[in-house]
Amino acid sequence: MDSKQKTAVTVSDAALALSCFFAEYGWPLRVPTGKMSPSELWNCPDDLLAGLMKLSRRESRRLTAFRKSFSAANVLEELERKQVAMVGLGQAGYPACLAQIHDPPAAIFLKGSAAPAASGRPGEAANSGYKNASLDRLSALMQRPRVAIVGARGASDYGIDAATNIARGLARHGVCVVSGLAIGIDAAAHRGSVMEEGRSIAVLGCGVDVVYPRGNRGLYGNLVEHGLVISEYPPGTSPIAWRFPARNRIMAGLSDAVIVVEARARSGALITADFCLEEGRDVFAVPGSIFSELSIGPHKLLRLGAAAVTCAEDVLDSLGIEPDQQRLPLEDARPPADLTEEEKRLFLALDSRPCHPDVLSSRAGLEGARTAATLVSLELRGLAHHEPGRGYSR
Amino acid sequence: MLASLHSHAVIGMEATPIEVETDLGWGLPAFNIVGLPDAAVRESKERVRAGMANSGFDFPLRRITVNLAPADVRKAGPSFDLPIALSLLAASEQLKIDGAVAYSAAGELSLDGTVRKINGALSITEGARRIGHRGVLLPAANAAEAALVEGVEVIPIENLKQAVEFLEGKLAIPPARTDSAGLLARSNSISLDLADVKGQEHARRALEVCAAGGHNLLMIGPPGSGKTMLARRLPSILPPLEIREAIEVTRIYSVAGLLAEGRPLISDRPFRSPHHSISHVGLAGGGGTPRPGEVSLSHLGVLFLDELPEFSRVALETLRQPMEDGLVAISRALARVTFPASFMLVAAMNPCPCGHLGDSRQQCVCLPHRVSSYRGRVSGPLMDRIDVAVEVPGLSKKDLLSARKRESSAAVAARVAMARERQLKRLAEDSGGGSVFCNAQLDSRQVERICRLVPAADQLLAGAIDRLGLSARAHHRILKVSRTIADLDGAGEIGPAHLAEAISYRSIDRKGWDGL
Repeated sequence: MDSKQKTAVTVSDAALALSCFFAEYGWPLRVPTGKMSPSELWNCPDDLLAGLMKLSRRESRRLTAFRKSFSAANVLEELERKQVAMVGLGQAGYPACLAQIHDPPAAIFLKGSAAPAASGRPGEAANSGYKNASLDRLSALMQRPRVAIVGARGASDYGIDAATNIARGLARHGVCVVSGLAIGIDAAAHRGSVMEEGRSIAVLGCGVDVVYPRGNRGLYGNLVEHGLVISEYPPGTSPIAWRFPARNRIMAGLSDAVIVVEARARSGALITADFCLEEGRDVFAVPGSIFSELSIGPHKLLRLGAAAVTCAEDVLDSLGIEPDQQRLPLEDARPPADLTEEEKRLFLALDSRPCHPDVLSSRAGLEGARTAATLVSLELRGLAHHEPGRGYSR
Repeated sequence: MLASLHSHAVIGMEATPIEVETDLGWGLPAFNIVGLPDAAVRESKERVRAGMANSGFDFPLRRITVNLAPADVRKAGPSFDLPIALSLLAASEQLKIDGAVAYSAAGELSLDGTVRKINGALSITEGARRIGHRGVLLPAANAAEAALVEGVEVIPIENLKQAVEFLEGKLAIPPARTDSAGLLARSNSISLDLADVKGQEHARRALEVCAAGGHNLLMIGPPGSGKTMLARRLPSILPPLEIREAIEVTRIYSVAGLLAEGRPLISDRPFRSPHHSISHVGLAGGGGTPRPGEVSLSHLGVLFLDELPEFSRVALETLRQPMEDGLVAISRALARVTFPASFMLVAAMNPCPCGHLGDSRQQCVCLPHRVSSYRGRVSGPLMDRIDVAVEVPGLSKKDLLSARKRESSAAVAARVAMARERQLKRLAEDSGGGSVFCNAQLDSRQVERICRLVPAADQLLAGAIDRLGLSARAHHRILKVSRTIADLDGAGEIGPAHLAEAISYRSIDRKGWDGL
């Protein structure tokens, strides 16, 4: 029989097979990885496996067909080509905290290595190089405290500022920031961590080689180089709506705590918070305006007993990290000595949030035309930052 | 039994001489008009018949053939009523003239024989002068505008009878006179003043720079921030029209039939703000008999496009040629015409679909990809032709309530006039004038010759290109705008401050504009 012949599959092949099946037919199908290891599952006869996965008749026919046609070698070859590392549930290097959750992914795919992927021929040494680098980085990051920061995509300035600020504070204390590389709060959290040269993990809802949303490709590149990009889906999996709630359980699984910054009433961030509650992780929420739709999510969590966060220190306490008194946020940057009088006045008028030149000119007491010119010269020296359509910030 | 009279067909902006020949033949009574008449010209026979009868003339019961020669030019509009009636009267010997008629005629007939206003009287008069006519018989309502043309008599005609008596020499009608210089001087009473605009220092300055150099302007800001208010005040700081320019603009309005009663001369710079639902024909001009569109109606003035991304892509694309060449060519099956269209484009848009991105008073609810697709609708070749882009913030309560009187248009206009004078002088030295009147019109070779930077500014520019991700195409625009800023400052060479200010007006060229 077919399934008899397959008894020889390795842990890695079984995990790969389950991942591929899950990626194709996954949610709301559940692979009961919490109870059995991937190889045990994969070695079950078709009908038993279908029963374990609670498949309908049509789905179990799909499973049978899938098992016949599946070839681990093809996927492994693709992994190699795309320099994506993989670790199966039960293999060495699989994060323990992730293995504990209710239904851990059968395998996770990793992309993260300092060496650029543009090597000449795919020799043996180079291959094991990227694999080891990614796995090493994963285990190094698992040694650190990890905090997920999640929230709305269409976030307000306040939410973006809050996420950036808290992520910076955490990164400064060596905390690894976990988020989903979406636009809005997720991107702000990653960006805050990157600003402090922290290590950050992005958990994607598509293959790790797929950059989605495209607007975050700069951030993606940075995370591949300095942090880690993780997904439970094999490379090439496209971003589809149902895959995003599913990945939230991985974010929850990888983190010691989660901070919800802004979330509408039915937000994916709340799904992550629910997973965290289920898995016994700490849940924090950043309070917002009571008049904003974006505050509904965090305020609901606060009512349910989540702790309020106003700065990174609030979270550090619960992680058992002593906040470093000397490295508290330093907002009153001093102007460099070689600025002209006008530049100095304008530099001091700049804020962390973008302001229109008119506001700055009245703050600094400068004429409009001079302000515009001086702002550009500050910007060229890297002392001011311009956001198209919004103005200048520090 | 055969008579002929001169008239003119207005095609585009130009009047083509048309000979109106009438033959009365024997046969069953009929009235045929030949020579590619359009519907309005064909219907002319009913007006002519009634107009003649009600003026006390006999309508000949003969076989009437009217030929409008040359026969291959399409004739449109009711302006042939008067010449057809007159040649018919001449053919039936109710109008007796000796020798050739030295006058041409144009006018629409009413059923009672009075002569109504027509479009394009100014072009017709110029056409009459060009072919050496002594004068032209025109509706009295058009006489004032037509008399702007010198060197040809404009005879104002009230009704058909008057025209007949004039041509027979029984009635002397003095040629109309228009004091164009007087009209021009009287006109400059613009009621909109920059002093009414509250706050917006940055945008006011950008407006001044644009006025001084003829640059196109894009204003980006939330609803209610005063973008339209600022744009409407741009004509008040532009230099006043010269008489030659005023007549050029009046000609376009005459052809379009948009001259108001009692205002024969367009003496103020036009300001046109078409709605964003406008079609590309409405914007560029066109139609069966091509008529000027908004780009031509804003010739030598301001074309204001509010809600720029809402305009159809086709309509916006038609702006490219006029913005480049200062004229618009319209090709149709039967005619190819050119209208002048040298305008300053002022465009306004919201920073995002909801309008509140970056607004301190109200939260934006747009998703980032919607914002970038909204902005993407106007990127590309059109953005290439906009020199200055400026962010116009929502006004704070303090600004709104402030009673501080701002600088008036007159003060800004004086600086603009000085800057324009410097440009004209420099251009005259550089290339002996030519067709370039302001910095915005400089071509790339002139930019290299004229926009010279002091060494410190040169370094600044090199740094800006690297650091701000400015494209190569932005480079020339920045040089032109900085030249204008230096002109406003009275500086001979472009200094670092001038250049830096010019760079601050190019936010749409930077990284992150449509990528966000």
